[in-house]
Amino acid sequence: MRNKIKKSLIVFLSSVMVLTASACGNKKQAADTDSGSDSQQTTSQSASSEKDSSIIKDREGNDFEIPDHADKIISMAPAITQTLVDLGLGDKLVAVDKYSLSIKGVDQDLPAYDIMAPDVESISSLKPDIIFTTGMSKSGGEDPFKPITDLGLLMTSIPSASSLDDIKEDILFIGESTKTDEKAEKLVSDMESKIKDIKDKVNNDKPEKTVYFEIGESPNLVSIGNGTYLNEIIEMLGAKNIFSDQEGWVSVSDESVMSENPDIILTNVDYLEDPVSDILNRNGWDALDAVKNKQVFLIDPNASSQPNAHVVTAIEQIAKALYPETFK
Amino acid sequence: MKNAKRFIILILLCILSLTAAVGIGSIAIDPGDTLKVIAGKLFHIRFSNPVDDTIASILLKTRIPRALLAFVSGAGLAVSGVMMQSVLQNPLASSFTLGVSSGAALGASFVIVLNITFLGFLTLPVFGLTAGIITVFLSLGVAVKVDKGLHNNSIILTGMAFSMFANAMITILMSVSKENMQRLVFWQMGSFSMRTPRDFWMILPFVLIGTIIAMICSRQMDIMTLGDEQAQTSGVDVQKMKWLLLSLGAVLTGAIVSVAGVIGFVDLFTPHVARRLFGAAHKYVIPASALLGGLFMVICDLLARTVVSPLEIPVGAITAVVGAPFFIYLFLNKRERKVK
Amino acid sequence: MIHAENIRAGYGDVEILHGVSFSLKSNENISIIGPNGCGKTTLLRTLAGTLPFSGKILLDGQNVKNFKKKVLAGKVSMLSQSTQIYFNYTVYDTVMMGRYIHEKDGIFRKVSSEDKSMVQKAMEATGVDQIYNREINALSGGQLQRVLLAKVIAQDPDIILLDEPTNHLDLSYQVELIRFLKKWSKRTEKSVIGVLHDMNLAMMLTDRVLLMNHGRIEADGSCRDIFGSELLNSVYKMNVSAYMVDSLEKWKNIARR
Repeated sequence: MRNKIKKSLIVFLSSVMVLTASACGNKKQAADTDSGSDSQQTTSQSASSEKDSSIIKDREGNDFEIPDHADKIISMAPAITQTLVDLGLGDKLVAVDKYSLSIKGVDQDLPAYDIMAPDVESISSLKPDIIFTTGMSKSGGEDPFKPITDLGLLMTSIPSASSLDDIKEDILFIGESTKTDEKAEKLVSDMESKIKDIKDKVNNDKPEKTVYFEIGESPNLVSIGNGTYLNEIIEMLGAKNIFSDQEGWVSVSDESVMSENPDIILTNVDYLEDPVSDILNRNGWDALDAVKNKQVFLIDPNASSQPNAHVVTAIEQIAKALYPETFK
Repeated sequence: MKNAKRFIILILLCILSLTAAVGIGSIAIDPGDTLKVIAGKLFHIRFSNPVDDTIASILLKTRIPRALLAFVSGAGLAVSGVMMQSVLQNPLASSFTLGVSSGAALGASFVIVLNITFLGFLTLPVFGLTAGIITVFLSLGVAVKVDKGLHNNSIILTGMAFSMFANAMITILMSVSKENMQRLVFWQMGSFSMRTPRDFWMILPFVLIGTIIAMICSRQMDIMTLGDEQAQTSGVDVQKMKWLLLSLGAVLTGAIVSVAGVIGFVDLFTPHVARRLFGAAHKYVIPASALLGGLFMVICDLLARTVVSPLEIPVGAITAVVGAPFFIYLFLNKRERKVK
Repeated sequence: MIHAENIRAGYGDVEILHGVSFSLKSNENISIIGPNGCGKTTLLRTLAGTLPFSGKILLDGQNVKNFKKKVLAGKVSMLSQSTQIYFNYTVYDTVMMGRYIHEKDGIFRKVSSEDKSMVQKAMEATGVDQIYNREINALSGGQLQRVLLAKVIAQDPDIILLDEPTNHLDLSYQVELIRFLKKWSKRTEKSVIGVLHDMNLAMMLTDRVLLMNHGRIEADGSCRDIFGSELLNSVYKMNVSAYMVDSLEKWKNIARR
C-alpha cells in the first residue's frame, strides 16, 4: 500500500507543479488568483477629500492612490526595474529582485530579494514609498506579499503583459504612480513611432512566413501562443506563428514543430551558451527547412522576455530575421 | 500449450503497437511509407517515388528510435520489477522500494543543476546510473549492518529511507536553482521526448544482458518466493542471489532512469499481469513481463504525445494515470478470487 | 550421522543456545521438546545452515560449514512455520521446487521421470495430490503446510528437520502426518528431527527425545524415561505426568500399529 499511496501523491503533486509552472506569466491566471486577494492600497484613510486625480486604476483594475512622493522605490521584477531606470528613477531604488541587479543603472549594492519568496521583514524595514511587483510572485497560488500590504505599505502588482498595449499601459502606469508622467508618455510615444517605422517597412505582399518561437529549450520545448505579445509581434510583422491556435505559454512536442515545418525558427533561450547551434544540431531537425536554410536566429532574451520599452529591440531583431533584405 | 498461444498473441500486440507508435503522431505516416524508408535505409534501395525527406527524417530520427526506446525501457523496467518482487518476496516491490529511481534522478539532477558536461552526451547517463547503483548499495550495505541475515524487511526499510532522502535532496536542489526547476520536475516525471537513436543503443545492452541474467536465475527466483529459510534449505544461496539480483535490478532501472527520467508503475504492475496470464514460473514471467512492459510503455508514450497535441505530457504521468486504476482493479480481482 | 558439539547461537546480541551437544545416528529419529523460547527452532536453524553459530556440527563426518549450499540441501532440509506466499504457483510447481538440487541443465532442462514420480509420491503422501493444480496463494494454512512438506519430501534429503509442522493441521491430519513420517524414515532409512509442541505426537514419532530449557539440553533419552519424569515437571512447571497419564497408554498403542 505504501508504494501506491506514495506514487499517487508523487503524481498528484507533480501534476500540480507542472500546471503551476506552465501558468507562469499567463495574465489570466494571475488575474484569477487576484480576485481573492486583498487590496494593495495603503491603509491610510486620513483624507476622504483626496483630489480625484490622485486615485487611479492600477494594472489589476483596483483603485490605487498615488503617493505624494516616490523617493524610495522597490521593484521586484527586472522588466519594471528597467522601466524605472528608463524614467530616470534608477537612483530612487532602495531594493530590487535578484535578476534586476544585472540591469545597467542599478546600484550593485542594493539589497536583492527572491521574486518568489521575498524577505518581508527586511523589505518593510526599508520603509519604501511604493513597491512594484508582478504576477510572477503569485503564480504559486499564494501571495507572498500579503504580509507587506497587511502592514500598510503601498504595493501594486503589474500582471505580465500579454500584449504591446499592456506594455504601454504598464509604462504609463509606472510613470503616473511615480509622478513622472511626461517621461513615461515620451517613452511610449518613442516606442510607438519606432514600431510604426518598422511596420511601414514591412512588405505585406510577400508570402507569409511561418515562425516557430522557442522560449524553453530541449528537451522540454516551450513556445508561445496567442495572448502573448510575442505572438502579437509576429503577426504584426506579417508572419504566422505556428502555434497561434494555442493559448499563452505551451510546452510542445518536437514532432509538432517538425510537422509544421516552419520557415523561420526564433529562440530567446538564455540558459544555453549557443541556443542557435543547439537547434541546428538537434536530432532529426536537419530535415526542417529552417535548419537547412540556416534560418534560425537568437532574439535578445532580455528584450524579448521583459515587457518594457526595450521590446522594440526584439521587434527589430525579429523583423530583421523575417525580412533580411529590408532591414539591414 | 496455453502459454505458447498467449506468447504469440503478446508478440503480435507488441508489433502492432510499435507500428501504431511509428505511424501516429503530429503527422500520420502510412505503414507503407514506413516500410519504404526502413527498406531504403537497411538495404540501400532507391525507390522511384521516394518518401518525402521530412517524413523520412521524422521516421528514422524521431519516431522509430523513440518507439524502440520506449519499448526497450518498458521491458527493462518490467524485468527489474520482477526481480525486485521475487527477491523481496513482496508483490508490491519495485525499483522505488530500493531507492534506485530516486538515486538516479538525484544524480541526473546534479548534472542538470551544476551544468556538468565533461563527459559530453554520456554525462547524464553515467551520473544517473552511478548514483542509482550507489543508492542501492548504500541501502543494502546499511541493511546488512543492521541485520546480518539481510532479511527483506530491513532491505525495504533502508531502501525507503534512502529513497526519501534522495527525493528530499532533489527538492532542495529545485528550490536552490529555480531556473532549472522546470527541467527537474519534468525529469521526475519521465519523458522520451527529444531522445536520440544513441539513447536507444545505450540502453539496449543493459536490457538484453539484464534479461538474460534474470532468465538464468529464474529457477532460483522461483524458489526464493517461498521465503528465505525455505529457499536456503532448498539449496539456493539466498544471500548471493539477493546481492546479484538487486544490483542487477538497480543497474537496469538506473540506466533507464538516467536516459528517460523517473517512470513509475511499469515495474510494479506488469509482473502481476504476466503472472496472471502465464503462471508464476519465472522462466515465463520474465520474458512475458518484458514484452508487456514494452507494450505498455509504447502505448503510454503514444498517448503522451498525442492526447493533447501539440502539447506533450510526460510519459511518467500517463503510466501512473493508466497504471494505477488498472493495478487497483487487478488487486481487487485477486482478493475476490481468494475469498472464493 | 550428525554430531553437534557445544553449539552457541542467537540473534543479534542475544545468545539463545548456550552450548548444545548431541549426536544422531543415521536412521534415528529424535523429537525436541521444551517450553517456548528454549531454543528449539534456533537449534534446528543451526543444523539447517540458516543461522550462524559457534561450535562444531559434523554431517557424516564433515563440517557443515564446508558444504556447498546445494549439497547441504541434499543432506538436510527444513520445514519451518509457513508464512503467507503471495505468488500464484500451483501446488505441483511448488512441490517440484524441492527437486531443485537434483536438477541439471539450467532453465532448459526437461523434467526427468524421477522428478515427476518423486513429486507425485510426495503429493500423495501429504494428501495434496487432488489439489495439484490449485494456486498456493489460495490455500488454507494447513493445506500450504502440507504442500511445503511435500516439497521437502520430494527433495529427499538425508535428514528432515521439522519445526512444529502440525500447528495448522486438523487433528486427523496431525496423526496422519506423524504416521507418514515414521513410515517414511523407516522405509528410506533416513532421519527426522521434529520439534513438537505436543508430547503425544513426539512419542508417536520417535523413541528418543531431547528436552530443552533455557538454551540447553536438559535431558536426552528415551520417551519412556523422560515422559513421566520429575525433570519434565520442573521444566514445564506443571504436573505433566498427571496430564499425560491417561493419554500415554492410548497413544503408545496407536503408535505401535
